[in-house]
Amino acid sequence: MVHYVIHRILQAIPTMFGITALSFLLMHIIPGGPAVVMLGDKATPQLIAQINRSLGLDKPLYVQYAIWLWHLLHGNFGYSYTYHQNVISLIVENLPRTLILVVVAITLSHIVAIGLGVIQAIRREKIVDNLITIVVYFLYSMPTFWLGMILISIFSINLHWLPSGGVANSPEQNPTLLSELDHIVLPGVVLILVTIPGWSRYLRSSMIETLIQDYIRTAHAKGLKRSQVLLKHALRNSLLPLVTLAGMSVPSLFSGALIIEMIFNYPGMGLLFWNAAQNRDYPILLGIVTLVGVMTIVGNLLADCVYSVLDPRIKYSHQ
Amino acid sequence: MNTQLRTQRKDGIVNLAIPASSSAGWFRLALRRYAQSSLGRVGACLLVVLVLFCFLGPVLDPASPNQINLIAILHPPTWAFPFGTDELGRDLLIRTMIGGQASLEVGFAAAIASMAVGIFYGLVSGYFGGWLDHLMMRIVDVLRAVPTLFLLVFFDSAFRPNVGLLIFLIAITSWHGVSRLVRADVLAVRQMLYVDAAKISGASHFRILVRHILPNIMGTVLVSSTFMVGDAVLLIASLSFLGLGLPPPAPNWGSMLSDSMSYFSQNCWWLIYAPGAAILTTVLAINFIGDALRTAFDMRLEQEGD
Repeated sequence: MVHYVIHRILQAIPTMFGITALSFLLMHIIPGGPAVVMLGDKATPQLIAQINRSLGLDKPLYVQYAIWLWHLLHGNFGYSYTYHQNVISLIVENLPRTLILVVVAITLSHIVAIGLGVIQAIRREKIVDNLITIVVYFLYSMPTFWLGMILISIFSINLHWLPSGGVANSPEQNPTLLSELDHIVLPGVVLILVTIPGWSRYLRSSMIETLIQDYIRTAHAKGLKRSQVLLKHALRNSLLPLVTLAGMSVPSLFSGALIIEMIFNYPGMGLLFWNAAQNRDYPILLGIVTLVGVMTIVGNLLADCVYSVLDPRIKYSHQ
Repeated sequence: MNTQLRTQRKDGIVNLAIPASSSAGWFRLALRRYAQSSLGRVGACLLVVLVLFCFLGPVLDPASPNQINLIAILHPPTWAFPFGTDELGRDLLIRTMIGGQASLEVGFAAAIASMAVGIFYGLVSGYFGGWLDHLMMRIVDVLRAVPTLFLLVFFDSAFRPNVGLLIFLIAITSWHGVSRLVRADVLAVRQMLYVDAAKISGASHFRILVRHILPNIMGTVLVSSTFMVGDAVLLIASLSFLGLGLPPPAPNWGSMLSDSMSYFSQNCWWLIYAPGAAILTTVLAINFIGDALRTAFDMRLEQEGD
């Protein structure tokens, strides 16, 4: 296991460098370079050269990359010229809201998906199973933004139950935990609903596959109760791969969060990214891309390590 | 974007141990299995109906999608306007049809483009193996860690792409899932005796890849292309919704929905239902087809974030 974990860490390091190289590359394919964007109409060759010099863009590429890495390592993601603020402090300000959304979505959709998957595997090919399958199909094919709009039209516009967007953070309102929760319900539900299908489908097929294993028959033959066999023997084994899947789904959750935050005007990292794209504020865009990439890799690494602890059978093999 | 479902061969070697010469028969057998599944039939029928609706519909209903009609603004569905009208009195039925043409065409084109990249990459990586494979797979890891939508929003901000460039950008940001599946299959197929035989008889790498390996991984290619079309239609719709996809004034499903954002709060519910349902039906039909194909080709569900 230790061997496996070390191997996975060694594998993650070049990928980390890859992420930084990717954002470095992206920075350099921006037409005209950052100077032209920063100056806008005021761009003159002298000014561009001056800015390029101050940003270190006149140095050779490998030196620039080394400087870029050095800055990243010190948490220096650059300076946003629309917010006049360090990118990292902007991210720190906005990331928690997105993280809440993503973490809540991962947790709750796992719970729902596990429940659905187990019910479906037990009642395989029965009405319940087919019904859930159909619902899951619909959710799986549903555009995130459309689902968001439908929920807004039902719960905010028609029923007036929940706010359609924003957060309760205006000073005179004195936000309480409850009023904050109010604003997270709809975005959270959308993210949960679009995350469930993948996992419940996976869990159903993995449960069905587990239920035909020999050790399940043995457990039955031992005279264990049906619920015990299902929950302790079958479910536990089908759950294991889900840990890895959760790690791998981080990027798609962030993509979903981007759309959801835009629809609900929810000021998280997705909305920050979106607004930065409108203003062509590249330091923010690249900072977020780098950060999300690194978070995904760390998430995957953690998931794999947890998995190897949970499942003693796993050893590193060259796949 | 949605968590995505991908495919993987369940029993790699066993199933692949079919000589190249009989692969056509094996392929036909799988297609026959497909035709027998009700999921596959429903999916195919839905897709045909949708394509007819989008491409034949406008011929039967010669209204113009951009015809502004100020006496019928925000009209709920009636016999004259079965899908209602929008804030400029434009007929939503014809706009949904015409909008579907753009959404479907660009979705298919983007899927084909990224399949081409993914298949080529996976073939090379799996076939040549060694350090090249290692390097190529690390590059895939990097791309997998960055959300596709973030990259596309970045590219849009930097380049303001036209349709051609948009298809290209989707291709270079969403090929990696396919390439991993193709590579995994190639790793199994390249150990087959007939590949050795082809090598010994002096066949070139290109010939081995195209004539001996590619035909034997067609199942994976077909299934993942199908899902890729669904993903691409969704992605284009999302981008157009965000205002990044296809340019106005020609309608498409995503931009119709974003146009309605400011009006549907006035209880104009019909604005959001037609284009949204059209996207849902398309992706649903394609996912049905993909799942039926997956069963027909005997593959297992593998989930993968994107």
